[in-house]
Amino acid sequence: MECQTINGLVFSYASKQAIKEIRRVEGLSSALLTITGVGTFANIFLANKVIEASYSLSTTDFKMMTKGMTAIPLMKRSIIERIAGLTALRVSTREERLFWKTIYLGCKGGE
Amino acid sequence: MNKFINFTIFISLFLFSFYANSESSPEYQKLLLEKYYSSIDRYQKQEKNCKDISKVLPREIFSKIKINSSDLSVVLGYHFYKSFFECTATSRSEYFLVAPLLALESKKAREMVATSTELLMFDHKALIQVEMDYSMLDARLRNKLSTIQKLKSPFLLLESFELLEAENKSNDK
Repeated sequence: MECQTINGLVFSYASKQAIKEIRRVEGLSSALLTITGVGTFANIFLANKVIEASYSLSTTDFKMMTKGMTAIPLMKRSIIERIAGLTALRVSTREERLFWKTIYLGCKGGE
Repeated sequence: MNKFINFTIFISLFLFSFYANSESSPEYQKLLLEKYYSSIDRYQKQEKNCKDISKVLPREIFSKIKINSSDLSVVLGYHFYKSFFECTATSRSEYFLVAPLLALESKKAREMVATSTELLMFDHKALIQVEMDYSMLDARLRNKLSTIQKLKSPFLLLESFELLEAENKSNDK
């Protein structure tokens, strides 16, 4: 889809609700990325305990963390796409529909 | 008496949480964490797969049913989330078998699980919201719709809506 300028965009109740939900999704995924970003085994389980023995924090520890971390932004993007798709169906003006459609499909180049 | 019961419950919960936190071996916790990350990864892959197999609904899908434009958005919104939710059910169950166990292990793990669970359940929340509107539709219409197989597989929401809306408009002329 080609990017287009949207003039006179006024958000309806449905759009405002969708924006709130997207903000929540953004907040959750950033929080999760922060937690998993430092989410090695030791950080999650041993932070408040005395480390009695040396645990091997090997490459596997970081590999599994990376798995989770790469999945989160992709999940976030998909959830936002679904919210945008549903909202595009619920709004009545051409401008609002175009706005949500652009978020749903993405756009390239254009004006 | 009530005070005694409350005190006993408090002590039991305290001892249980202490037991739960102190009993697990680092090896157990490490495996649990690995399973947790893997379940998130598998969920995302299944979600992508469900999206990849999604198609635009055929224009004749409602040829025997009369649906106006505002009901069309309700019908498609509900079936879109329902079919998507069912398509991702296996990996979601896998996550829910591991995540609560991980949450028992530490405060930080609990915080992480609460955040990821809310993110994973976002579509379920959306499904319940669209279901509220869908349940207001005529029962006979809902019965007819429940027999349409194509609505049970994931589909492209907006693309299908635009096609069927255009179809509705051309039939009205």
